[in-house]
Amino acid sequence: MAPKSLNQPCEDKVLLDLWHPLGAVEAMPRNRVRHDRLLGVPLTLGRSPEGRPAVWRRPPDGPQPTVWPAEGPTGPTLPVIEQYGCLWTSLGTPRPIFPIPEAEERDRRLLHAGSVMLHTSAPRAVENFLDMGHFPFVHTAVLGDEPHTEVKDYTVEVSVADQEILATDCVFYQPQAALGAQGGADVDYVYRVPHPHCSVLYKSSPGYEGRLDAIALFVQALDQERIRAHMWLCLLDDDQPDWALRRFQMSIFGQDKPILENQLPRRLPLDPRAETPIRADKSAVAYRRWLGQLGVRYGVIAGAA
Amino acid sequence: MITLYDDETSAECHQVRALLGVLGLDFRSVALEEYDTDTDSGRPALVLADDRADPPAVLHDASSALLYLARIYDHDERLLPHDEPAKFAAILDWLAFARALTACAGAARRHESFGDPLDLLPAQQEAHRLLRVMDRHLWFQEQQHEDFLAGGFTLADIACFGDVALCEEGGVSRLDYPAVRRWCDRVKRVPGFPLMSGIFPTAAGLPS
Repeated sequence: MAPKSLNQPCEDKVLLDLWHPLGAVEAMPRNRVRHDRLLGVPLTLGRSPEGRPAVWRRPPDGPQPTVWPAEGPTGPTLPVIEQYGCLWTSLGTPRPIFPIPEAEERDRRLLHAGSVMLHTSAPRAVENFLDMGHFPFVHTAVLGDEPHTEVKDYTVEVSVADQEILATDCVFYQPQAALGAQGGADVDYVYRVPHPHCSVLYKSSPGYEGRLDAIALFVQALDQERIRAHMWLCLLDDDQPDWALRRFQMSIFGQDKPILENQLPRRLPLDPRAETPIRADKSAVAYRRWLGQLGVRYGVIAGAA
Repeated sequence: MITLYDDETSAECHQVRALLGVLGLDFRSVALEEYDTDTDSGRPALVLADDRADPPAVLHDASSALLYLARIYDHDERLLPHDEPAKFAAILDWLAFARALTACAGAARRHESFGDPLDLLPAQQEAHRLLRVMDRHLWFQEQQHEDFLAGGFTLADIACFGDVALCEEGGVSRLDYPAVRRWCDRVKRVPGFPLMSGIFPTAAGLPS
């Protein structure tokens, strides 16, 4: 059954049993708590005076103090891990989080680029992240430019064993592919969708022939039509200060925001006839089909079974 | 060199970037968190440091930065005419109006995008009230063949534009304010006027 109201908590076991991001660990001050939501469930999260993070469910209408409770968490705590710059939690029984092997490479800059709230569903945000077709029109003069609008054919596989979607052999002309890029170039892209609400893209790194920068989008579904998007960078760039790399990424995401918020319906329709894909949308078609096969009902409009 | 310590997502910072752009002034933009500040007094929304002045001039507020830049660098007094008292007065009032917009439309956007605490509904209602005031004023301006808030393009338009152009991110629709929408398009076409993420360019338009 699809959830009857938008505010109803998620009942999809497949989503409940995953790790979900709650934001940058460094943005959570010690001895304070923050009130948040995940998949329609009200949560309190914070760090103890010793710096230990904790997350617990809170009654929706109770008092909302902002200091860490003297007697510790006021309800049973949820599991937490710190990974890829974020604090993650789960409302079910999570398997290990998906790997991003590049995070272990010693010469990389790991950086939380920012968190932004959007009035859209998590699957709409992931699908936008996978789309190359909008680059020249939404990210003009940065990630694309007319007349270089063609999305050349690329390969998409859905790997059942690894439980993820992989799009490879993507090439797109970009005037300024990264902050450190000098002039336009054909840029190679690889996209992974290792989690229904997370995607990692790999793209040519200016100045590092043969190696790829990794940029991840971790989406926290607050409810079915509201999200907080967390962006994480895993770059080979040595030259730019953190704030400039963050600003570049936030500026790009800020351009996507009004586009995403104007996509209606906000929940992603899974019926293949609901919206008309073109060849460039191959990865989106695979993503929608995959969500359907996983049995996801939250944040989507299910197709005819 | 002029240095602007700013936040690329902030409409208040955009006011200052817009004036620098329209005046054609070169400046260096640095993230606000790089500005060393006394933590007790809180971080300002922006800092403008002008070391072309001796000793250097430093400002910590969007309105004061606008007034400073206009006074020092708007040599033909196009943006803030000193010798036309009525127009000068109107522009100052629109600067105050812009601050009121920041407190409601701007705050609603920061709440919806970044989770800043706010009682959302009253802020959205106040934003609609101000947009109605603006829409009515701009419609009468159009009847008199005036394109902007205070006659020609002035500091008034620069100060009000950002929070209006971004208000839909705060759940405040501009659908009911057609004169405001036409004004937004005209402001975007002013030579040198910069856009920011969330504000898209507009078509070239008819020559007026």
